Amino acid sequence: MVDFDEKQVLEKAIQGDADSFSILYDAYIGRIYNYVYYRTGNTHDAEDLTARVFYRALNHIHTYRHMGVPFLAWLYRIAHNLVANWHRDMNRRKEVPLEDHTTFSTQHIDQPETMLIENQEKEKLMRAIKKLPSDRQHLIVLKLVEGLSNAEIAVIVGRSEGAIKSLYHRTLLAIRQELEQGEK
Amino acid sequence: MPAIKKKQAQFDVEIDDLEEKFKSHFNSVKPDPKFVDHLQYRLTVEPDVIIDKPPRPLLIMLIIGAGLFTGALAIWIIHKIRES
Repeated sequence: MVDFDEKQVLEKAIQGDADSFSILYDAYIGRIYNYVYYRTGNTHDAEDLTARVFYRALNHIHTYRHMGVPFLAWLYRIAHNLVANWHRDMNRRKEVPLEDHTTFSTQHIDQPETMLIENQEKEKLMRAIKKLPSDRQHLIVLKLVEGLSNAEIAVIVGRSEGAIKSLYHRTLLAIRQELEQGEK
Repeated sequence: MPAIKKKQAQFDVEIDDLEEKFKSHFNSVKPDPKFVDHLQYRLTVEPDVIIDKPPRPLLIMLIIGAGLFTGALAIWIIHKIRES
């Protein structure tokens, strides 16, 4: 939820107003970073790719037309494309850096064993997600991490809401199957 | 068709349970404030020195190649016209 008139700010940013672009940046940097972090698995690459997202957005904002696609959706598309290229270049789809997962749960910090089990489960889940095709990783992160609805994701990826719902269900089942196979 | 509806309902519950189970593992990750501030500065402040992007070599070769080909074609056509 933004607390400014996005349409007005966007129009100025498209015309080259740096302050307006700065407002958009402030509004969405957290969301994009969060998304990229869970697609890459480490802070260093998340910062690098997040920076590239906003550089690309800045250089191409003059081509942005609302056309029913919110600005955040446009940013997610840029982020997805850059992350997909990154995966292709680095060939790290099956690699999950362990040392950078600073988001380990601290809910049971007074119960180290519980915390360890939770972190191990999360690690397994991340590995299972990393094995998915890029478009399914994109979907899962938007749903589970960003908390977007099927309708919002449908706008981002340019597909119907029904198609997103169906793909999401199949992806959840695929992740469960991968986790079960891992346990065997 | 109550059997189908019951199966669909069970499937929906299964999906919901999976979703809740997986969601519980994810916490929102905030970027380092220094990174955020520094990137904002780089994006919005015009640099003192601008380095021009070098021209793409492949495009240049293509243009030169097309020029050479056109020239050779023109010479060949003129030669043919003179012969006839």
